[in-house]
Amino acid sequence: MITSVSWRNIWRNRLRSIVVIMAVTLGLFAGIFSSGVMQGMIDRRIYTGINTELSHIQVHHPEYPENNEPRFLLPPGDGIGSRIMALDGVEAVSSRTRLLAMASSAETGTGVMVLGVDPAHECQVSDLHTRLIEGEFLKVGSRHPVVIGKKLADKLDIHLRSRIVITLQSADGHITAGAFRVSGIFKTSNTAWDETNVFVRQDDINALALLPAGASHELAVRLTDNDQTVRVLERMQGLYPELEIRPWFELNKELGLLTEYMDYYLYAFMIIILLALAFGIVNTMLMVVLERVKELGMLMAIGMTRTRVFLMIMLETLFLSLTGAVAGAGLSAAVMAYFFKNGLHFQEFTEGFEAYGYEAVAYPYVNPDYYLVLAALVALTAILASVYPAIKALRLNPAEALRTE
Amino acid sequence: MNVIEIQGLEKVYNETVVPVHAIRGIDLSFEAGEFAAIVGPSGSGKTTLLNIMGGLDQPSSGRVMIDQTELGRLSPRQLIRFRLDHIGFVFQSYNLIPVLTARENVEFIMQLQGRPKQERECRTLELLEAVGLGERTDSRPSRLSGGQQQRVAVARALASRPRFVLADEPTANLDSVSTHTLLDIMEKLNLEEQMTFIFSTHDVRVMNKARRVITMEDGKVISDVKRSAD
Ligand SMILES: Nc1ncnc2c1ncn2[C@@H]1O[C@H](COP(=O)(O)OP(=O)(O)OP(=O)(O)O)[C@@H](O)[C@H]1O
Ligand SMILES: [Mg+2]
Repeated sequence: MITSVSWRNIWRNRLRSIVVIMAVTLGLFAGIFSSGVMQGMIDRRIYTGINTELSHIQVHHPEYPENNEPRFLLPPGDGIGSRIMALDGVEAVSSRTRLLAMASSAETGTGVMVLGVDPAHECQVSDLHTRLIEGEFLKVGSRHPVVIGKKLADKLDIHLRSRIVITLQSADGHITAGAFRVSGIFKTSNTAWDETNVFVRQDDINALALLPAGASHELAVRLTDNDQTVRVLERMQGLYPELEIRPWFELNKELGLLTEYMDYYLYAFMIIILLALAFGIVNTMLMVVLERVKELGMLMAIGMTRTRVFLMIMLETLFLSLTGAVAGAGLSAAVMAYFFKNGLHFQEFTEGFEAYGYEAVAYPYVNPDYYLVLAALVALTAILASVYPAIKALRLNPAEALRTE
Repeated sequence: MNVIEIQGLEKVYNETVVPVHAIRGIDLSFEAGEFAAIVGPSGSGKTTLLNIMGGLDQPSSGRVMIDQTELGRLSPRQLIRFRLDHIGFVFQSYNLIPVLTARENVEFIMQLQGRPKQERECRTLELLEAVGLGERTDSRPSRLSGGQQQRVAVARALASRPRFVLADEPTANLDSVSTHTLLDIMEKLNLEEQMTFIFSTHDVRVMNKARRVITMEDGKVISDVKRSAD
């Protein structure tokens, strides 16, 4: 019956309780929704990172990541690629020549990373070919095609079918240059990446750099599922201990940190919101105790133990908070489901977001477990918030309480 | 046999600042089945006396024995349980839990005692019938008149099967009709259930219903008159 008294007590001062419930609802909604937006953007960032920029796992000569010198090639022959391809969980492998170079138009020049790829394999590993805004990805039959980012095209002031010159150091140490024609322009959500990466045919660039046909610096490995990354990585490292084999979260440390620390951010954020709500709840419950001095005195007089008085106030606080929490969670789930389907667009801020590699649209999402943890956190907050008012109630002396007017 | 024995009772409030002698030496005893009124001017110490008898307040000196149990020797925890099981209370106001119905209010105290559901339900209906509220069992206090609320309080006080009921000015907020009804009900329960009632009052008509009238003045008992029922 104490449970039912506590629950009904909430509705004695309907307006005040509704205000508290609304505060918890909105607080939780704000917390969950913004966490969802953050999580959604980060998920998209990681998605792009893996699918467009990095692939799941990359293989290099152990010296290459440090020095980026043309001579640090992977061991010749097709053996590594096909053995990795045969591993369980591997979907596709693309071998790439990767050289630092200078790209120049008639107007100006800039440093870039040239990736020499076999278009057929590359398209299985990366979705870059789907992000072309003009032209085609290394069109078959064209002579010396190059695919560049929109940002670079703007910087060099060139267009589709313009000619650019790529200057680099060849394997014999001399500086050499070749002319390429823009066959496609891509645009991803990461402008910095668009500005620095250009794609050419592996045969073309190997010939220019005097590298043996089929020589490459990098194997990009696409897996069937991101959850397989660690397993396949360990398998590959076991097969080729002499090579440098790294997963996407090490290739791009920022992405790795995002996944690792995201949860902490979300919870820290929530805890701050709950802390703020806790003060409101404490205040309300103190008012409740103050208003009911006579009634509490009566209850203690007729024989209600302190434990039960404490429990009654704690339960009332808990019900009040959890009602708000359920409403907040429901509201968040509904609003997030809508935006998850339709996307939450930040058109005005597109440039700012993309400068940091983020899309200006979020598909808010939180892990369902998050709700459970939040429910526990709200309950904990309520229990903590009820302690002080409940102690106030316990301090009442029934004889005194009954005398008060 | 005496249900209550009070010996050498003194109560001084605010002992450190300005001491108020609310009770100045009282010896009293009550037998089972009494219907006693405590009267006296405002400030004479009636509430203080009832509170000490009910274990709600501690005397400065002297002792209160209830059925061989000395209240002063009980721990705070034991005292709460003792009140729950042995003493029924009716206050001037705020007797009931506003969010519970009449029936639930009466049942509540038996639930605190841990009595079985079957017994609780039977006794609740029986008592609400006895106080003339058999028809209003599902009303919340706010839907009952002041007199009806006090009758629920009397039913609640009896529900725990106490040794006696202490009522501090139970009729102070009631009109004369309700006062009469309440007193008649208390008297009937006193006679039919042999329940001991000790109540304080300012009201001469209430006083006249009692079979024993204890008059207090300035913290002392100045007269103690027993008479047969009229
Ligand atoms: N908590 C307290 N602190 C100090 N003095 C108190 C306290 N409670 C009561 N008193 C004083 O003790 C004396 C007796 O008070 P008590 O309430 O027992 O009288 P009463 O006979 O019940 O009066 P009333 O008819 O007005 O209810 C009064 O002088 C009162 O002011
Ligand atoms: Mg009084």
